[in-house]
Amino acid sequence: MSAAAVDLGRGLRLANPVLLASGPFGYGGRYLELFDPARLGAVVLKGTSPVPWPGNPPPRVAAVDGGLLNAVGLENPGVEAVLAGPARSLAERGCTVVLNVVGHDEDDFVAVARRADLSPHVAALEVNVSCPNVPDGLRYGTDPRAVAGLVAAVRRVTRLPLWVKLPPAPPDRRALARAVADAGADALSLVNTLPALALDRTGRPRLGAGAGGLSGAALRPVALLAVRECADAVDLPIIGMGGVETAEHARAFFAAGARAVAVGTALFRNPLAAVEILAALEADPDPQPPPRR
Amino acid sequence: MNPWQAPSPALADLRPGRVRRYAGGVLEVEFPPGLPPAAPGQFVMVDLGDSALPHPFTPFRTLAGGGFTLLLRPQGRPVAALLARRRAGQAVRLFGPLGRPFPPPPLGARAFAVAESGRIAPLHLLVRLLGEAGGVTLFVGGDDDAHFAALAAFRLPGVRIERRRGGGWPAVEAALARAGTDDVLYAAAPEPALARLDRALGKPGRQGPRAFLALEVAMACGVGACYGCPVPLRRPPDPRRPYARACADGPVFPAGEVALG
Ligand SMILES: Cc1cc2nc3c(=O)[nH]c(=O)nc-3n(C[C@H](O)[C@H](O)[C@H](O)COP(=O)(O)O)c2cc1C
Ligand code: FES
Repeated sequence: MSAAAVDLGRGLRLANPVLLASGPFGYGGRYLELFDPARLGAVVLKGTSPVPWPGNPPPRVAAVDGGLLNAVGLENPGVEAVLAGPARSLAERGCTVVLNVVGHDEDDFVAVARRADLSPHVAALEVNVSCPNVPDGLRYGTDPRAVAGLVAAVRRVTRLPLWVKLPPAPPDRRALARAVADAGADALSLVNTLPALALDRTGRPRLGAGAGGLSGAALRPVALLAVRECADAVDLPIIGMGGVETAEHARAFFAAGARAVAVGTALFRNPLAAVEILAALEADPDPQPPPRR
Repeated sequence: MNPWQAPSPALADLRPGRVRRYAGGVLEVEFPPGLPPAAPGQFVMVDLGDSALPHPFTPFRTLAGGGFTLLLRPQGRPVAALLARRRAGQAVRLFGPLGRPFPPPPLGARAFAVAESGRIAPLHLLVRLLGEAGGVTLFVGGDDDAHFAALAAFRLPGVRIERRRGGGWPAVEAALARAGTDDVLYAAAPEPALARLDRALGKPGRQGPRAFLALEVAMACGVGACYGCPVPLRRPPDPRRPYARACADGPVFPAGEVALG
């Protein structure tokens, strides 16, 4: 697997297989002064709802052994503001922009998708049925029938490529992946964060929302299994993510069956993580596998 | 270059250098040049490899030649991780400077700076500039030797230091008693102390002084991207957007803007 262009279905071709995951990069902020996101395959924007969502009370982040817990709670200014602001400005900088879609119910998802379909700045939609940090966040992401209904409804209102982002450890992953594929999705994003809890010394939650979602290195082996099992179950391209920090991690996801990888939490320690991974893949596209014993 | 103006941030791998030790276990660690000079109150992110998150630090002293120092309080700061890196001769990745800085004082205002519980790092550059510009009184409060460490670094032209030892927030109280309506107050302190200052200034009928508060909030990206550092706004223009971001809209906020403690 090299750093060359990748085909993610429905005619969407990305210049390379290294993406920015939804959330940590947000809309760029001052990362835009530290690296150029247009060099990457695509930028997936934060979860976007039909109207502004306030997000969760502080604290929203807590480092834990091997990773990070977050409960941002999908704070965002709503689809109109996202399309007019960051989606547009990032697309004008040359980024391939993917919109991560969230909602409380089917009407919400459909409303965002319908609106985004009209935008010249959005290249694909990532339907987020796997956020552990809002009350209804996992309502669709665990039930094959429910997710199939949702994906079919979104499919009807947009011609954009449709990615579906699944949770890291649903009850029946293969059934879920097949339901999503049959309902008309073009690709799978694997995985979102894993529900988790961090307590302080007095036994109180360290996050304002109580529990949160685990990301970073500790999530990597969980994500690799998800990618491997979904790649076996369905014929859709897979965008793998969860603790991708180096080119070697990216290669592990490719080996498990991912066609692209997305970088999230690693940006916090190293804002250059994604562009450094891409550069390393370009420098050594097909390293010799270690000799078999 | 205007030293109050925030520069564009940069990223650098720098090796921690000389270490000075102060009372109460406080350390000052030197870094070579490599980042643009911070405006007063700005911070840099430091990755020490000990956590999924980098650590925000306000650069303490600016060194001749473009280097700078970080001040590490014994509690709550990753002292062991930084010293281990230094012993191993390893560079650490830093990026910055970041965040909204302290603004310069209004013309003719007397300036007061307030530090409680050892939070003096955000005030060094500020106090130096204020001292050069016309003078400043720095109130330092605390109840532990560590809270008064490194004060020698503040012996600068135009800077008067007043120590207030005791419980509560003695430096906040002293500054409130001294500052007049037209004066300006700059504070770096734990949130309950800033909340006390904010409440006193917000009393009905009280006209001034103007005040600027440097908050210490948990952050992830530090660059205004991830929305991981919310601070509730006192009067949000849109009730559906009730938070500011400490790293991008702060960490310095004018008194009255955010809801504290
Ligand atoms: C601070 C933060 C915010 C996130 N926000 C979103 C989001 O809005 N939508 C979404 O689908 N995933 C979100 N995620 C999940 C990431 O996109 C990614 O799936 C997960 O963190 C695993 O990758 P990583 O270990 O590289 O971060 C967020 C993760 C973090 C750490
Ligand atoms: S820490 Fe990411 S927005 Fe402030």
